[in-house]
Amino acid sequence: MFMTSFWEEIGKDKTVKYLLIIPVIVALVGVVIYPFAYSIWLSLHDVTIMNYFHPPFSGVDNFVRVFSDPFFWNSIRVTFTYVFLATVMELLLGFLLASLMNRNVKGTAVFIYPLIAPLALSPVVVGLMFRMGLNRLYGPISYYLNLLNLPRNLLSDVNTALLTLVAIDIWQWTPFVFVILYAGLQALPKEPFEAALMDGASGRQRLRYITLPLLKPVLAVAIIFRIMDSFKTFDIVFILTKGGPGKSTETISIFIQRMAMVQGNVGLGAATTLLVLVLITVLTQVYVKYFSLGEKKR
Amino acid sequence: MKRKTMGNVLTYIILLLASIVALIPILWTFHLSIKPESLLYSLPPVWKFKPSLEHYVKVFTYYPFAKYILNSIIITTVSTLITLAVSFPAAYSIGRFKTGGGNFSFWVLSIRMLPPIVFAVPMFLLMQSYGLLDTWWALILVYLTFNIPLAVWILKSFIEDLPVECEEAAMLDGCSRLKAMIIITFPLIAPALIAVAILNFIFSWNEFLFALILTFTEARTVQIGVAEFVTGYAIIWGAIAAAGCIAIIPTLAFTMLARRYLVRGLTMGTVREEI
Repeated sequence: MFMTSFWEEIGKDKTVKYLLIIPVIVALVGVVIYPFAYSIWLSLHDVTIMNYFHPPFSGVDNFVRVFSDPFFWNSIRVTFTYVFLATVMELLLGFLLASLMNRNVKGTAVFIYPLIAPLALSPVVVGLMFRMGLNRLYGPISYYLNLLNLPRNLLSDVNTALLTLVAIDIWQWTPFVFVILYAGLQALPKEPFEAALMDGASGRQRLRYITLPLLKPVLAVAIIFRIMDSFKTFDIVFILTKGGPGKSTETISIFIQRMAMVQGNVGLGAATTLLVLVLITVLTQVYVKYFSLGEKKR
Repeated sequence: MKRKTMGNVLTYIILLLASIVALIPILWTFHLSIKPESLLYSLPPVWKFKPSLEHYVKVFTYYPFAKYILNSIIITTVSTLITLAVSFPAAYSIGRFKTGGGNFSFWVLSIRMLPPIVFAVPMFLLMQSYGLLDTWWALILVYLTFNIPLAVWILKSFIEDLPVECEEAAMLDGCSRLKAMIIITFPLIAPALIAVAILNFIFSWNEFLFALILTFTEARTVQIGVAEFVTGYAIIWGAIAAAGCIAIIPTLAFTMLARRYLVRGLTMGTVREEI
């Protein structure tokens, strides 16, 4: 009698739906919540490599020190510059390529393969590729730049290092924006464009009043993902410059890595990660809710 | 009509140029990997030579690169399997019943948005205290942080696209909800599971930061293996190029294979169109 009611209870939708998400909750508590709780604890203690497990309580000291560290503000500035330049360029180029591809000119379909290839590469390999290519002595890029009398030490010059990293980001991730916008453009209804043509709308008018508004949800997705992913950038910078020359390419990720892993100031590193966490959470929540991402659009 | 032809030619040329720009660094790396050692550093760069496999041989004989490949395969496979096992039921629950409302699923999505460095600091200490540093399990567990959100969101998008009627019909015939999920939904969603597995593989295979800080010798992955050829004294070009080519072949192949699901995968199921 008890068993039947037990199984009946489990069979009910309102019970099943909670049973089914238990595994994912357990997993996420283990690999996300628990480390974060630990991070909060670390950020409130003066943790260094000497005293990992019994550090003295230090209150909000770490946060005060992070906020008064000029390198922290430098890394914020570097990160935002990187994110802004990369995202804007990738959107423009990606939209251009997607629109061209969307014209369905004969013989261009095959270009999809080379155009998505950079997406598949690991950032490490991309970083090393360009590190060799830009090598001051033997790299072909710097060799040919030199032949053209252009500056060749792109990565060791404070003025060009960050821009070079941005250029590499653009090389690898423009394809990301391209595929998303191309998929979005292909799915647009044909009727509004035909109607606009009948009414004699110019190319620019069609772009401004039909394409862009219809493409807005897809554009929003491309933008948020590029902002978040370029904000994360670690690998490429680590491989190519490790934040240098000086601190001119030290992004927030590199700053935290230097703090916590290189200098052993784990508490400071944890405090910085929490600040980043708050920043990202607020950004995502606002953005995601504003554009209602992931809602079924029918 | 002449203007249109001009436009088409211009379109073709721009797309061709963009394709060349996208491919050149990759082709150059491959070219470098089969270039004899004696010509690697010659200036001006030598473009024509008799190809040699010496760097590939070197990578596998002088360095434990084969072991790194094995480590990567084991770590990505186990992490992917765990991900699928916990994500499919959750995605079903969220997709069908909106369990937890918008907030829960957005929270899951926002995990994907966090910079990995945020996890790196606590993870290093936790793995150390549990004695998991430099083991497969360290990376298997850490990779769940980005694999699970990806899997839940993509599977959720597929389940939402699936008509409810199939399950309802089975349930009218006396199936329980769970049984309907397993015998009706699961097979219908199989292609999506494969797509998710491929995407998980690509992201885990390419991961660098966690592999860098959580492994030292035993559990090192392919990416670290490639980066290791940059030593304090020299950058071993031939080995980097050869190892780099080996490291990118599986992800390139999978990306082309899973092309249909690429957009859905890259956007976590928020954009569902195919290319």
